Amino acid sequence: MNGVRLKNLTIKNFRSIRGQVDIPLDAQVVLIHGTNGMGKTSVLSAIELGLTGRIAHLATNGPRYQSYLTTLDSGGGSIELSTTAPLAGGGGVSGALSFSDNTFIPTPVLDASNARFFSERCYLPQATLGRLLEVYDDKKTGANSPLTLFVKELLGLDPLDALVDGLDYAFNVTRVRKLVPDFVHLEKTKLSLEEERRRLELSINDATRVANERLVQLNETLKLLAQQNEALLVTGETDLNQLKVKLDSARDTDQRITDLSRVRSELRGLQERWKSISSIELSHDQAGKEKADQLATDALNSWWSSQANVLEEAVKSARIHFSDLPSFEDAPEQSRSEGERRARAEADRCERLIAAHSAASNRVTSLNAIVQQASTRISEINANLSSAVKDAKSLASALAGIGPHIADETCPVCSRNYAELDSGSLSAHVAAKIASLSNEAGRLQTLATSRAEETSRLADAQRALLSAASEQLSVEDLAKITERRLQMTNLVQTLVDLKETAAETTRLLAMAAIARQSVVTGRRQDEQSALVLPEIEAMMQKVLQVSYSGFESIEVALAEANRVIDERVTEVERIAANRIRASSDLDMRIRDLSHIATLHVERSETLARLQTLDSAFREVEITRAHAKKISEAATKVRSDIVTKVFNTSLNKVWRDLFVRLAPSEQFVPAFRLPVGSSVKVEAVLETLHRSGKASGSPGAMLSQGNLNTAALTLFLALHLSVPVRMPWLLLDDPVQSMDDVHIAQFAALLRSVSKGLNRQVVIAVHERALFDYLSLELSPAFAGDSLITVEIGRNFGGEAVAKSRTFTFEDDHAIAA
Amino acid sequence: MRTTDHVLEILVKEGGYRKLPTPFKVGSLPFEFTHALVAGERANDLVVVIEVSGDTIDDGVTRKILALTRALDVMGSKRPVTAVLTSGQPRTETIHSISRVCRVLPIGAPIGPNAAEAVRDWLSVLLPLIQQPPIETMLNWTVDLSASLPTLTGNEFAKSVIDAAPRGKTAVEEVLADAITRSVDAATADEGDEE
Repeated sequence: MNGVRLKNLTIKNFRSIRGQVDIPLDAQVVLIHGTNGMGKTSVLSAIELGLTGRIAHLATNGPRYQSYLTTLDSGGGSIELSTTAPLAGGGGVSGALSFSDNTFIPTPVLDASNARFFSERCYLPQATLGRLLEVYDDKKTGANSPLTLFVKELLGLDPLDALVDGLDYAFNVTRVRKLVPDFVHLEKTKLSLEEERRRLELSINDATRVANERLVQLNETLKLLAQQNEALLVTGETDLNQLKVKLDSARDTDQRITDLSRVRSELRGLQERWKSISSIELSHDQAGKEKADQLATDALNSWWSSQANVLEEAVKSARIHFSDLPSFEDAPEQSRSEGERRARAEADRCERLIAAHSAASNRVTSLNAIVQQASTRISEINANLSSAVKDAKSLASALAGIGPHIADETCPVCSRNYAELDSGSLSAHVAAKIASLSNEAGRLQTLATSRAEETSRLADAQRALLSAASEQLSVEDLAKITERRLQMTNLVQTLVDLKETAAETTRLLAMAAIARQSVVTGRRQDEQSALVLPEIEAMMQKVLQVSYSGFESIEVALAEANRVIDERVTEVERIAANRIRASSDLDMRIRDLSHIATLHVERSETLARLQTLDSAFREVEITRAHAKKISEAATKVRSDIVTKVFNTSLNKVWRDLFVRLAPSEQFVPAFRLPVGSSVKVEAVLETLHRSGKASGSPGAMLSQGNLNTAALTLFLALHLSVPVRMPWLLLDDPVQSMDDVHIAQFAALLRSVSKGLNRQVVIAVHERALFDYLSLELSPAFAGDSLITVEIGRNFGGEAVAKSRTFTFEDDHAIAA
Repeated sequence: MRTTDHVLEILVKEGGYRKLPTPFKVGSLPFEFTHALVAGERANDLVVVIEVSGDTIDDGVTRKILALTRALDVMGSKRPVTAVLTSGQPRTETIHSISRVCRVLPIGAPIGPNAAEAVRDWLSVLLPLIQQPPIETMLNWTVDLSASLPTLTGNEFAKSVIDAAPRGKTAVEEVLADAITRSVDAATADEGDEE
């Protein structure tokens, strides 16, 4: 690797180099000199372009610089660069670039990664030197500052960063939840399970308490039952199902209840029936009733044959007129009153008809008078109108049409001279005639209006006459109605007189009916009581096993039987109720026990699940603890590495280099390391006093010259700190603001780097004295060592000229050693 | 130990310099300094050590150096000359005029706890650069990490996390998430069956 050198460079029309120059580079040290503007920097830029295809410090502002590469008015140029061998990683040995104002075609020697390495670590352009400290002291960009990136890249800390950052989640439960959403579910599940467990325990307690209470109750119920049966007691060992079967099998009480209920309802029925019979029996006097019935019937018959006859006749006569009257036999008073009402109504109707007839007759008379008058008047008007034979109005307008034709006294109609009549002018005469005719027309108009009015009046009268005539009755009808009115009035009077009779008839009828009804009822009751008594006897025998005759009365016997039955029913019902209660309590007991068992099972399931969850939580905790441990260890390892690298490598190299150039400077620049195991790698620049005490930043503590030195040595330190990818070091006029002392030291440093560390050094200087001095200092010192000096200048034609000299080692015999 | 001796020791022991006899000759001319040394294999420096004492005459020092460099020039030598001035401090003008023809290291006589270091700092420019071991060889974070986690040796989780680290933060997060998820799933899988 160390053997690879830049070999040769050909530049054509590149920036300030007009024409073509060939520069040999195959030496340990290449020293390029040229006064300002001759193209030293161009040579170094050309090397960079040949190697990388770009000018890194210009490319940060975009590719615009590519169009300014060509020397003015030369139309285009090229760069060719060759190396002695491919680099260790492979690749070419020659690179080229052709360019013009519009084109830029690079075929660089290095691939992109190596190209970047070269631009950052091997080539120090003048422009960069001034900014180097700023670049590396830029804290604003924090974790991505160039220094941080350099350190990270250099140290390969990414995996440790990844560990620290990636395991960060383990430090906080909230972050764990974020990382593993299921964890939240797990936590929730645990909470709900614990809740469930608590709930189940409460339920079990409750259920046990309730079950014990029920057990007491059940045993009490069973004790009650025991009065009829053998003593029962439920304990923890009792076979409940067996007991239940036993209870359920004893169903005889049901049948007894049914039987007793039936007997009781029969007894009640008998009681009711007996009560209904016996209540009537109190007034039981069948013979009296028969007699009363006879009397009522006789009274009715006698009344009927005497008084009622008149009434019947009257009603009959009414029925002639009103056939739908109620029959007299059924309801005499109703027939009578209805007949009276109808007769009255008919009389009223006849009265109204007669009154209407007379009113219509009066109206006909007056209307006839009006008709007669109107007819007369119309005749008169007609006569008046016929007297106006001529149509006055049309004649007047005809005459008005003639008016304009009357020029003098000659009549335009008959051509006679009107003056002959000596009665005024003709036109005045015609005008007077027209006026008279117009008046006549007005009168005729009035007459016509009057006639129309009169005609209308006549028509009205005639219409009214027709309607009035229709309301008049014919003579026959009038006579008939008058007679009917009379009949009705008489009928009404008759019926009114008979009101008392009708009432009496009705009363007698009702009394007879009541007597008859009483007789019939009595007969039926006699029949019924004859049927009921044997039934009562049978019932008494059945219930009390004694005859009712042994009791004071049948009612008492029945009541006693009823009481006995009720007692029996109550007793049996009580037993049945107890049995049902016991059975249901037993059911409850069975259910309680099974419920409690279920709860126990559920609780143990919940507990098992909780255990599973707890173990999961423990596992997670262990994982987290491990993660924390690893993260902390990674932080520490990272911090250790950083410290080690900075202290043992970077700062040491930098100090070594800086001290070589500025041995008398009391403040030495250094990277200050992050204190403690901070998460981020962030170094800042500071200076250390020789005594080891930390001091201010380089900018504050160093002179301009030493600041420059600090930058230059920083670059070299960074170059030396990284693994060597390519053993080249290109420096563009790095000593512009150094004093003589530093230059001498710098020369020695360059020599150490080049000869001691096998770097091929290409350095451009503008100062002649320095060039000579460096030629001396860097001249070959051992066999195989070599130096090429190149002087860039211009010939008279303005074309660039590169004058190169090669020095090889010659033994120095000046000192007799 | 005097600074001069110290200088001599550093140059010979650390720089591989070879002491010249006193006086030494350039061509046929003898030159006498406190000490004179030439570099070893890969350099051809000539170092003269001048101990500045009370009786040293600055102009004399200047003359001697100028004469030496002149003689070397005449001989066509390309040896770079370094003058190390120890003990006393000559005048600034003297240093100035010497430094026109050679490298001057006016060490003087440093005192105090850092004296030795100050001397070495002055001379370091004459000493070879000590190449630091490449950082890569200093770094083996996996070993360091494993060493600081003795209790987790053989732990499956630790192993997979560390394996995932080179693939980046996300990969590490995934391993952590997987480990936790595994525990969680193991517990919630039963849950799913029961619910």
